[in-house]
Amino acid sequence: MSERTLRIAGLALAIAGIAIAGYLTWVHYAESLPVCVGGGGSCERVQTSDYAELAGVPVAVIGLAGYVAMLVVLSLPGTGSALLAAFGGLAGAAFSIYLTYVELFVIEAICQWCVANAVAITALAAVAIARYLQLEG
Amino acid sequence: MSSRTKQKQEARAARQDAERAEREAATRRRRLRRLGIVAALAVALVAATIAITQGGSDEADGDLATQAAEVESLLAGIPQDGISLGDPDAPVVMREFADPQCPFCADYSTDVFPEIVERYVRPGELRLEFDLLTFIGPDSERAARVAAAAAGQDRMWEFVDLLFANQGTENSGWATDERLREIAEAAPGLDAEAVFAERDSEAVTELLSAGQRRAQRLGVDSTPSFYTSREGGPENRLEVTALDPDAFADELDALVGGGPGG
Repeated sequence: MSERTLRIAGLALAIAGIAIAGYLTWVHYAESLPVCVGGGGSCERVQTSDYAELAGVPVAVIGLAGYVAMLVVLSLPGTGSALLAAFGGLAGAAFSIYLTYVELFVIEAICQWCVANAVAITALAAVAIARYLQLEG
Repeated sequence: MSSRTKQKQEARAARQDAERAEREAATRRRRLRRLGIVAALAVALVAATIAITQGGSDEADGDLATQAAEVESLLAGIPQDGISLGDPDAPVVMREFADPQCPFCADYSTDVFPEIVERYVRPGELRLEFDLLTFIGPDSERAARVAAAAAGQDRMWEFVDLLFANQGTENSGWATDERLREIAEAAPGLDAEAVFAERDSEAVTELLSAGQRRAQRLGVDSTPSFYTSREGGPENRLEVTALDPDAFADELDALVGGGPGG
C-alpha cells in the first residue's frame, strides 16, 4: 500500500474518531445518554461511571482532542510528523485497551460506542505505523 | 564498448544496488528502533495516567481507613445480631428501610445515625433494625447482598456505614465487586472473603426477601422510612420533619420516655 493511500486511510480514521468522540462529548454536556443498539443500559452504565472522567475531564473530550491532534499531525509531511502520528496512535490504542479492560472487568458493561472507538484507534495506530515505515528518506 | 568496460559498469551497478539495499535496511532498522522507543513511551504515558487515577483511589482508601476507625469507635461494645444493633432487651425498636443507593439514606447515615447511637442505642434505650431494599437498580442489589452477608457475621452496621459514606451516583455501576470488596475489607471485624463467599447464598436471599415482605406489609413507599415499636407492640411509622438529629430527638425522646408512640 502506498504512503499516500495510508495517509488518506489515516485521515479517514481520524475523522471517524472525531465523529464518535464528538458525539459522546455532545451527549456528556447535553446530560443525555448515547443511543445504544439493543438497549440494556450498558452504554448508560459506562457513560455515567466513575471511569467516564479522568482527573475531572470527560474521557470523550480527551478522545476528541486526541483525534483532532492526529488529524493535524497526519496532514503534515515528513518522517518526524509520521513518527509523532505513530506515537499518538499507539498511546490512544494503549489507553483504549485499558478502558476496554475497565468495561469488561470493572464496570461489567460494554458500550458499543467505546467498541467503535477502540476499533478506530487501533486501526489508526496500525496505519500510522505502516506509513512511518514506508516513508522514503 | 569493450567487454572490460561493460564488466566494470555492471560491477559498479551491482555495488550501488547493494549499497542502496544496505542503506534501506539500515533505515528500516533505525525506524523500527525508533518505533520501539515510541511504543514504550506511549505505554509509559498511559501507565502513568492510570497510575495517577489509581493514586486517587489510594487517597480514597485513606478516607476509607479514617471512616472505618470512626465507625469502629462509634459501634464499639454495642451488641449486634444480624440486622439488629443494640440491647436485645431495649424497650423501643426503630426499624429503618433503606436502599444502598438512596442519597437521603446516606444523609441519614452520616448526619443522624451517629447521634442516635450515642444518645439512645449505647445507653440501651433503643435497638435499631435495618431492612435492605433494592428497588433503585442493579447496584442496589449487588451492595445489598454484601451487606446482608455481613449481617451473617453480625457486622452489617459497620459495612453499611462505610457503604453509605462511599455511595456512588445512582445506577452508575459504582457498586462493583472491586469497590464492594474494598469497603468490606475496610469494615472493622468483617471477614470480606467469607462475605463474598456467602453473598449469593439462600440465607442472604431469604434475609433480603424478609425485609421486602416487611416493607410490603407496612406499606413502605420511600426510603429512608422509619418505624418504631415499644415493648413488642405494633410498628408505627415515625414521621420526622427533617433528616437531622433534633428532628429525630423530638420523636424518640417521647418514645424512650415511655410515651405512647410505639
